[in-house]
Amino acid sequence: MTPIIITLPAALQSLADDQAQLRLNAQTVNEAFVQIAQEHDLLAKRILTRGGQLRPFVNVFLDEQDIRHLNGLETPLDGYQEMTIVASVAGG
Amino acid sequence: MKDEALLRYSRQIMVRGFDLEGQDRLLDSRALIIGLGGLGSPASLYLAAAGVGTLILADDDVVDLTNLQRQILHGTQDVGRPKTDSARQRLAALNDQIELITLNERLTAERLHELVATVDIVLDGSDNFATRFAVNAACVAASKPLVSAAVIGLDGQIGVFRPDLDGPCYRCVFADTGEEAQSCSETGVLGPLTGVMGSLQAVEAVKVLSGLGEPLNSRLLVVDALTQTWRRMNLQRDPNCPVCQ
Repeated sequence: MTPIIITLPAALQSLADDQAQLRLNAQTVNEAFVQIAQEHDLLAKRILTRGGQLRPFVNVFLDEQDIRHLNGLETPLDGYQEMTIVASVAGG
Repeated sequence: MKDEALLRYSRQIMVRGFDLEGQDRLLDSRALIIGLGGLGSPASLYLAAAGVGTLILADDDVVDLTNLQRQILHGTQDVGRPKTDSARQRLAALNDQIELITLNERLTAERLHELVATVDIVLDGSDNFATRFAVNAACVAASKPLVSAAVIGLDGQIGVFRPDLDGPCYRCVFADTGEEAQSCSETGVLGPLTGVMGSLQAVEAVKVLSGLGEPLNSRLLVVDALTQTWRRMNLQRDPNCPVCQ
């Protein structure tokens, strides 16, 4: 199991008991989201579809790399320190 | 460069790596600014002050009282006026040595393609995804740099997309789901954060236009103002991007 820090945008922190960061141990990105869903179901639903896929307006980065250019939700967390959730924003 | 211009821009000409050459490049540049709201206000103010030779300012909205908490181009007396009018007045007062072109219209895809082809850089501070994707498509078609920023609530983002350097485009990173963005009128927005992100747009535009430093090319800077957490992400081209592939 790899310890990983999950960093949330301000807009989603209220769905995680007002925490900006979550700390957990998981093997893959998907496993991390399974754990998040156990404690913060509404947060997980904002990130993943009912079918368990990443919502199109959400990007997930491991350190500085977009997981879509790695192995998606199956990307192993080994070697990474931080997972950052980035939601599309269009306000100006 | 005339003495008055040398004096006006002297403090940035003194910046190492910017020099007279950088100022000359700015004076010869044309920038298109989409949206004269929370982001476009500081961006246009700083680019006008810096001496970008021609600013094309596009917005089809009028000033509303609820805008004034963050849209610092406009004042109380401007409520009800087209934003392009108050912007022109404010920017001309700041620097009467640059050319200001105002477009009080909602830009169609065709119009965007025409306009973008005539400028050196585009700054997008619009408030909806449809415009953002249309602006991106025009920048890709014309191979022009795009400095894109967005703010909602306490979250801000800025990226520099360089189709002219074979970098990823906005659509490579953000999926076009057809969904409407959360608006500031629904979610709220912290005024100073739009100032920070719009000012960063101006910083990046000056860097791209003058050749100063290392712009935020193919990177996304993500800001959480609630905890003051800043993260810089690497962006890559999407091999299946419907816009740039």
